[in-house]
Amino acid sequence: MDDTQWQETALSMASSMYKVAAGVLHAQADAQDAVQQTYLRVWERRGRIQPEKLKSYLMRTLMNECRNIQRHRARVTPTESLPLAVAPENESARPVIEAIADLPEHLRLALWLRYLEDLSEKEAAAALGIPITTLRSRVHRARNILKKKTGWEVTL
Amino acid sequence: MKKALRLTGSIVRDSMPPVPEPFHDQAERMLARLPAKEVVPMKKKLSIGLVLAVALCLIAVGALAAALLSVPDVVEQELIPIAKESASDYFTPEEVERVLDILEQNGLRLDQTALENILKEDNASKYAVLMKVFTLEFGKTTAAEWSPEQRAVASRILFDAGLIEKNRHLPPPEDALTLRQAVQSANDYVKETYKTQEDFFDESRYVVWNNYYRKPDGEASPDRTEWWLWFHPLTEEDNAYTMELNAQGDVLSCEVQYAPCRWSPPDGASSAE
Repeated sequence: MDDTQWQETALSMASSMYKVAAGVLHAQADAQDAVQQTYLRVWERRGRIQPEKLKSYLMRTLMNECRNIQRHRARVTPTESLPLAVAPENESARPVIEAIADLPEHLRLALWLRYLEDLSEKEAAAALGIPITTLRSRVHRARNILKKKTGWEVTL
Repeated sequence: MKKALRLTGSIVRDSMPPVPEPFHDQAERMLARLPAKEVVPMKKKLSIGLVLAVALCLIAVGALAAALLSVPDVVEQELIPIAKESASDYFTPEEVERVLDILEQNGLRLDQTALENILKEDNASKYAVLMKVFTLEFGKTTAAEWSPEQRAVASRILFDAGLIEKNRHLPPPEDALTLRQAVQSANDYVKETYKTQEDFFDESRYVVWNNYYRKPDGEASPDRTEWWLWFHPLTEEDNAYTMELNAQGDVLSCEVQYAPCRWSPPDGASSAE
């Protein structure tokens, strides 16, 4: 993969990376920092990363950066509460959308990454550093919680 | 009526924080600046220390592979402690997740159907989950198709953990009739008694289920059942047989269902108990 292709792949992941980082860090500036640091770190190691693993590597590094930022905050609780999309594409599904946003972080991340179109199931599991089976069980648990909270028949 | 909704990527994305308008341009600029931050890495000499470190790593990897536990060891040493953490007969979803992690760490993976069955319910029966794990080593999907030795291992572990009430599947002693000998005795008996040409060893014609029971005292009694065998025909031409044999291989009882027949094993034939 040449540098141009690398940059194109990285740019195609930008929105997803920002959303995940913002969902973990609850602060716009921190989310932007996390994405920037991720690009820098992965760029430095680009010669050692197989092209087919670049996406999961980017997301995995992003998760690490988010954890670093959280540690440096020294237990300062984020003040921002990031809003959901003002006009979601699926307005009728709003109760489920809000319930997803309220899920515990590890279940929410599993669901988000599983459904990000940029990543396959395998890449999503690799990005979270967990086996595929764990990813699947987290997704199922998330689904069960959504069913209980909304009273809707939520299927995957 | 309950509302139904299928989760899609679009719905899940709506639950994520929105991306600020200028972010995409910022990201593009960040990426464009990266080549300017190029750092030329130092060339590393291949030192003796490096070679030694690599060799040690290889040894460690080899040792790790050798240290991978067998399935019964994984169940007994790693999964039973999780099962014992609560008095419930069911694993919580978190416990199921830990079980799956442990299996993965030991290079074990349940097949898709087994996995879906476990994940389908909010809670999974500890007994059912562990029996599924045993099938990873013992092969057959029903315990009645395992060998008496395999069944004995599973039963002991589950009994010791309190997941079954009785442990009647003790391992056969050295001089006991083997499963093959018991099946042979049964086959001879059927051929002689019913004047048929059944072949219980022909896997295209029969599935053999077995239950081997031995009293803890090991006392042999000529008229005590040690083997229960079910011969389930896979064709419409063969009969089904349910037979009891004693420790010497004598047939104590034989029940025939004449062809064509439906396979209906008795309740509990394939439990660990």
